[in-house]
Amino acid sequence: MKLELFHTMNYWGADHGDSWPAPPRICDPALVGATIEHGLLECAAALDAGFDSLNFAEHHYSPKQLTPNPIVFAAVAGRQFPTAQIGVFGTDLPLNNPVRIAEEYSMLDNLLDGRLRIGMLRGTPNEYLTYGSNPWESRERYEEGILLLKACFTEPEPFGWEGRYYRFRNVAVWPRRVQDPHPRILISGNSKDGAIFAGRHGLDLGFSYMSVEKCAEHAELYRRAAAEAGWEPTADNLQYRHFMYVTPTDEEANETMAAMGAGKGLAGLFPGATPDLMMTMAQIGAALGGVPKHVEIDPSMAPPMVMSPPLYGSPQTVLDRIEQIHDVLGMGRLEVSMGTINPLPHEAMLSSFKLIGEEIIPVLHADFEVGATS
Amino acid sequence: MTSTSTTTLGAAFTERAVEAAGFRVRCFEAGDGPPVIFLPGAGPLKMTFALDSLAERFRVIAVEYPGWGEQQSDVADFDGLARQVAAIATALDLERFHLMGTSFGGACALHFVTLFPERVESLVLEAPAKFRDGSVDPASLAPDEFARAFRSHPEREPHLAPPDPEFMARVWPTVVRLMGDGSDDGLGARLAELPTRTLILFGRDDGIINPINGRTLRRLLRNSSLQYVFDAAHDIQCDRPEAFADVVGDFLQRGMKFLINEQDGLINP
Repeated sequence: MKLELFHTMNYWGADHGDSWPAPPRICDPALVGATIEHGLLECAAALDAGFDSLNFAEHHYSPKQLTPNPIVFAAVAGRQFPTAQIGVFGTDLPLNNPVRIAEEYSMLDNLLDGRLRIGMLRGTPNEYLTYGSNPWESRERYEEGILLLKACFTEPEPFGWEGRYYRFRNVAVWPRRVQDPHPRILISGNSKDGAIFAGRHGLDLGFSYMSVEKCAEHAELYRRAAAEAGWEPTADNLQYRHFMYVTPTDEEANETMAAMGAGKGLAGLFPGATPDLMMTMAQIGAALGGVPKHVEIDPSMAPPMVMSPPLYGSPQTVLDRIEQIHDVLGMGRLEVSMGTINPLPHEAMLSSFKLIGEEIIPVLHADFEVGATS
Repeated sequence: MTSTSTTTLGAAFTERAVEAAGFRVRCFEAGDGPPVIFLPGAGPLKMTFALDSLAERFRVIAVEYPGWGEQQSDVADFDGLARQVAAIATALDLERFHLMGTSFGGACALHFVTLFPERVESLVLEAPAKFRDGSVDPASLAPDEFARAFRSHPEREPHLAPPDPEFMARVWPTVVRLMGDGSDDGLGARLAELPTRTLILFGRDDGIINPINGRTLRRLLRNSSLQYVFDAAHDIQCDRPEAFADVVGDFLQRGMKFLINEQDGLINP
């Protein structure tokens, strides 16, 4: 099994605001510089520990992740660490112009000489308040966008696209990718629709935080859809994302994470949000889940997302937990961010990387199946 | 997209008078639906295409301040004026309503909501004249300077009319008294933690109230959204009536969910 670092590039300053969007006035460029420098040091430490990939993601208007366009930081990290695999998991495709995204990833694949994998996601509810994207159209726009993106990557002649949501009469993406025809594309399997779509279209499948049993159900749908489409995913096509913190003892990890507010779920991102804003987010979340526009939602009736326990504890505890997840899901890639929604302090992250490198990664690389790349 | 009417400005509005706070007050009302009390600027009450558009979806009641008619105002401060507005609303049998104020009316609306938060369903502030850093006293401007500061599009209806000297002589001393010198009268502290859903609108080219004051309100009003209107000055309703009615109508109807784009992006099925 491969272990990948999802680096959130969390703002180095202490003041993160308490709602969303965070006011730009609290952002100090000097601390953004510190974020970048410390982030690169952490990436270096992760690579030294044996992590298999450095991954980044798109989030907006927040100090929680300073990667509104993760492609920018992926380019920096990829050039700074010339042998590292780089993942962008991912781009919030319904928020963006798929042709522009194809151009940017084409250039990035060249900048990184083919060390790139990419993910196309729909984004969390707040992201739909970034560029004014219609959440009720998200699913259809997303699926069409992925197929348009693939066309951008594979069409050898200039072409046009007369879609439902996208119309481009003249497309010819330069440069061509180093990886022919394009980097591997991952999408989220947290929904059944996503899992089936990935299987049908030969994409990798990623899960984040969700209960492993639920992920396994969706992975089975993925495999069936892939079989119907004439291909067979391997463990390497499956990725699972969660929080990790490894310390010499369970107590140390659990105490630290409890003090950092672990376990509050995604609502922990916006502790000071007004009820109006939370209702707005809930309405978007319902829209993303397929609830029609005219339905006035009652958040108390929404089924809670069942999360899997995070990977906190001693090396043996964490290895045992990874083995349990692997036994159920059979993934070949484990992607971890360090800490919780609020990441670990720098020194704690470095010491955890060291322990992960000594105690976890050798076992994952040696003892867990990694299927061939499809 | 809300379209403006091609009929006469304010044609749908009917005038009525109510007795409130010892005054006989004129109100202009149009439309059905959730009630919206509109507090105008310091000048004479005028109709706009934006109000006409809003009246297609809401019951809009534009009120003339006590003392702006034939009787002389005796009010000492904005809190006093806000209490008079509350009396007018009660006389109109309105217990809870949307409150929309422009410029001077925005300042009054801010005082109102701190005194009677339970009566305000949501608040709309168009270039409110309460926080005035970097702003201009309109009385200090020459007519052509005032026109440029007030309107980006003076060619659009209703055209900017020169002030009536008799009206100004009667009302302006009250306006000056209430507006004060812009120093902190404690309102900021009263606004903190107010839960009222609020829309703050500023024209990007406002030459009267500097739009930077929108930032102050956005900071103070926790449950607020600050929206700039492009290519509009102080009088947004007249510079960009469609845009004004669109964003205000959406906010009044959907609350903070107006942040969610509902626009259909389907090109063809």
